[in-house]
Amino acid sequence: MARSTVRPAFLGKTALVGTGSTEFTKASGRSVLSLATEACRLAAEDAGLPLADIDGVLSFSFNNDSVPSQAVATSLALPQPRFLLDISMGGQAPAYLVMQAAAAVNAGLADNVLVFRALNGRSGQRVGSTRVPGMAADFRYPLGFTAYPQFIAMWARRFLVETGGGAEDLAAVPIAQRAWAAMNERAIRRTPLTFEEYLATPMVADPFRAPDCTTEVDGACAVLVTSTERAADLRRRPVIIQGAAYAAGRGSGLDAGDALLWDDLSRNYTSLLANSLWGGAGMAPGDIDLAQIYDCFSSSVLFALEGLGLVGRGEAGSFIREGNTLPGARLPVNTSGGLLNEGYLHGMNTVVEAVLQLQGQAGERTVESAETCVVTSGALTDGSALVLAKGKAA
Amino acid sequence: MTTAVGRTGSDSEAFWADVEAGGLPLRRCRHCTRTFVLPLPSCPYCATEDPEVIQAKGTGSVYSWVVVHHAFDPAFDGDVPYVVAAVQLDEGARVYGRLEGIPFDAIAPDLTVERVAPAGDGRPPLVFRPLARTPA
Repeated sequence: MARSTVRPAFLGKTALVGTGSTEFTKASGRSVLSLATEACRLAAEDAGLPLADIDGVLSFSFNNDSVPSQAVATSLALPQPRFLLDISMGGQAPAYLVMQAAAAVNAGLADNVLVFRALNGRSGQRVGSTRVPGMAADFRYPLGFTAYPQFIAMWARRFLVETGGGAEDLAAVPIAQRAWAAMNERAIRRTPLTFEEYLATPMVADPFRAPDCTTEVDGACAVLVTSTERAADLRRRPVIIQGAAYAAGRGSGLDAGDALLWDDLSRNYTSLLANSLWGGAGMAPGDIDLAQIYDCFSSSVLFALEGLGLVGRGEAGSFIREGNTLPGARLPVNTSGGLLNEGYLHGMNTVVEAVLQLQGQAGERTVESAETCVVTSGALTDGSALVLAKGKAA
Repeated sequence: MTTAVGRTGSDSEAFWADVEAGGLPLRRCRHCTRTFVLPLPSCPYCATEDPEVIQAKGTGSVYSWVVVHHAFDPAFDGDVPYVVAAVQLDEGARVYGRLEGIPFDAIAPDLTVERVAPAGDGRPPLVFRPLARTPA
């Protein structure tokens, strides 16, 4: 079927120039607005840009668990915002919102745009167990099919069926990512994990055990998007947005947990957007040095590595088990420890980690030689991805 | 209005009322004849409006499944561990249901299943069991 091959006009002309994150905690004791304001303020400071120069703010929320961009603009005393956008979305949103920010900057709707996610996701409403609003939810809940770990386990099981995989393939993900988490002070789970220890952890939704599931946190993350032109005058090495794509498949569902019309639960949106992502970036999977994959659950890393073509079908588990994603190896994956270990800042922290890496600001886990990084947002029937490239040092 | 566990009395109410009475209603497209469970105003495959409602036989095969060990909604605490399966009905539509009458480690893809008559008493309204045991 013919598909548009139009390349987004902002590619190569926009950049990520700053990041900000609060602490990740189990009970912040603070308002979401306070968390959002701190992360946004830090992102502007990181870039060396006065708050008064920020004229756009974008964010996403799930079940009204956050605050509007307008409130954050007010809290930051922005003199005259020109572009504010709030969307109701889940983990598909972070890369997608960076795309919207870049498009707005390139179209002249705004000059310097903050993208944030803030939530008391542990002490307040928890995404993992909240009732997903929407029409299809009523067809799951009366059966006791009520929560994301269960919805995504249904995909993971079919993936294992189709690829001939097993528990060792899922386990490989948290085991490898713990090696990275050990170097990340912000990570909630930092202790090493062996396969034997993994097998001794409680089942949550078979095939998922506890380490296959993210850990929810309170906190906020923000990134700052601007033009490559303005980026050249800022404090950090710019991270160029070289590729970007969002895709939702036919029958992508009536709500954020719906997959009743999705024929092949062993493939997610990453299979759909790979061609436009790589085509737009003018790159191939082999050109990628780092991958930051949205990992609300372990299986989504396997889906994305295969869907993006970074490994072949059915090879993701063995690729990770063989050590290829570890520190010092050929394709480091989820170098913060991922959502599984760093905590569930809903994938905004996944984007932040990509930027920190290419800025050279990820501390001892920085992969100095990395020039390019792919980032994904989402795990199911729709999602987004970016290809980022290291710009010239400031 | 909450009418039963997990139900909000919206578009699904007619479906569950029929299921509790022993039926299993599907939508079938009047043009492409594909079937689906969700009460859409038009066919999700060809956009033809006004699908007809048919009754499924209640037989199909297991496409995927989850063994729930932790109930995130306390209403289901007393049920764990239990199995939710995605069942590919013989009419083509996929539907979720509980799967009972088989050890967890014996569940396999393409296991053929049939609908169990609804038990009432607040039990899950849609339950499947293996259609026939594979000879040893």
